[in-house]
Amino acid sequence: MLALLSLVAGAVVALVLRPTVSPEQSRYLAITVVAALDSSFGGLRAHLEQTFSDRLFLLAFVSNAALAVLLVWIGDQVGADLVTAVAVVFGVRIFQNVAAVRRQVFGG
Amino acid sequence: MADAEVAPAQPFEGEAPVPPSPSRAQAARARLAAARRWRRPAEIPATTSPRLLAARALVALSVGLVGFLFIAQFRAQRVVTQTLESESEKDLTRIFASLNEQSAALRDEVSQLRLELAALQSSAARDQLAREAAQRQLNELEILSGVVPARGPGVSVRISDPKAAFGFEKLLDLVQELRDAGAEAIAVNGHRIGASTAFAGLRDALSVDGVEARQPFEVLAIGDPGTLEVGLRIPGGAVDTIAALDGAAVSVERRSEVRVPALEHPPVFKAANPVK
Repeated sequence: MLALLSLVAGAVVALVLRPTVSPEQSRYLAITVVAALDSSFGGLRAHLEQTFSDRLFLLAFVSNAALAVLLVWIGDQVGADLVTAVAVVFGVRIFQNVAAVRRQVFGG
Repeated sequence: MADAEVAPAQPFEGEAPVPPSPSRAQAARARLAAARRWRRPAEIPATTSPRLLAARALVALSVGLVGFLFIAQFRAQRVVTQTLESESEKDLTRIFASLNEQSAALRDEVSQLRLELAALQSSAARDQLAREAAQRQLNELEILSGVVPARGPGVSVRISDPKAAFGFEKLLDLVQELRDAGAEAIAVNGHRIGASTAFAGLRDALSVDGVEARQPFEVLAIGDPGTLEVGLRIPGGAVDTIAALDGAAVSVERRSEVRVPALEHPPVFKAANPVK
């Protein structure tokens, strides 16, 4: 599918361009990646359940990443390590989404 | 993979829905394409609106972004862990200790530089004040000694003396009266009167610092115009004295701006030295 192709294309672009990420940026980038992964699995699940809406997907994609970064930033400002909190939430959601995908594919 | 989605410019037209009387080749192609797409032909939209295309492009873009970010972060993280993983525990302890030392040294340096900065700033401020005071003093001394031209409010005294009754001692009196009234800079017929200016009388003229000055004389003085005029017009003062001379006439005029030149020959001190 187009999505899979663009995923690979993005990865190849990253491998070719070798973007440098500073340690401070790295924490935010990490949480953005987790948020984006969650959105992607959610999109895959919706696609398999035939309820995929591009509008909802894009909205969730952008707002999840933005909210995650915002939370981590606020955490940094007030001295609370919210990276773990955000990562746990997204981790649970990713597990749920992947479980749903598995049920769809294998009929579990 | 689905050809239609790779080339979104012409995604679905010509493939679906199946034409009313399809040739066998066309039908086979349509079935093949549908099978590749994991979809039943009925689900494939007959037309593709620009909005749908844009949405698909955006979805693809965001998924591509996921791949990009994922690999970027992956690489960034690997660089950090790789460099540290290869060190032994002992080396890590050493690195940690040296980093601690470095940061302590840098903190010391920061505080020292802050102190230095504060010291330099305060001394710079002091220097600035001293420089301003010195500049002010220099300006005053330059005006006083007559080495620079000066301008400011003042008076102009005109003396016509067709019978040459106005002697150098009268001119000296006039200058003294002006100084007494607070004149800060004085010039006679365009010659600045300095600290060592000398007046002398010639046969039918006067000499100021050896330069001949003829009537009518014009004496310019910088100072408070009102005070200067009052000082000159005191009964029995300079104006009265000059006006009483044979054939002489004098007029005093307040000016909002008077310009006085510099001394042509500033004094050179050879014998006198300041005592400190």
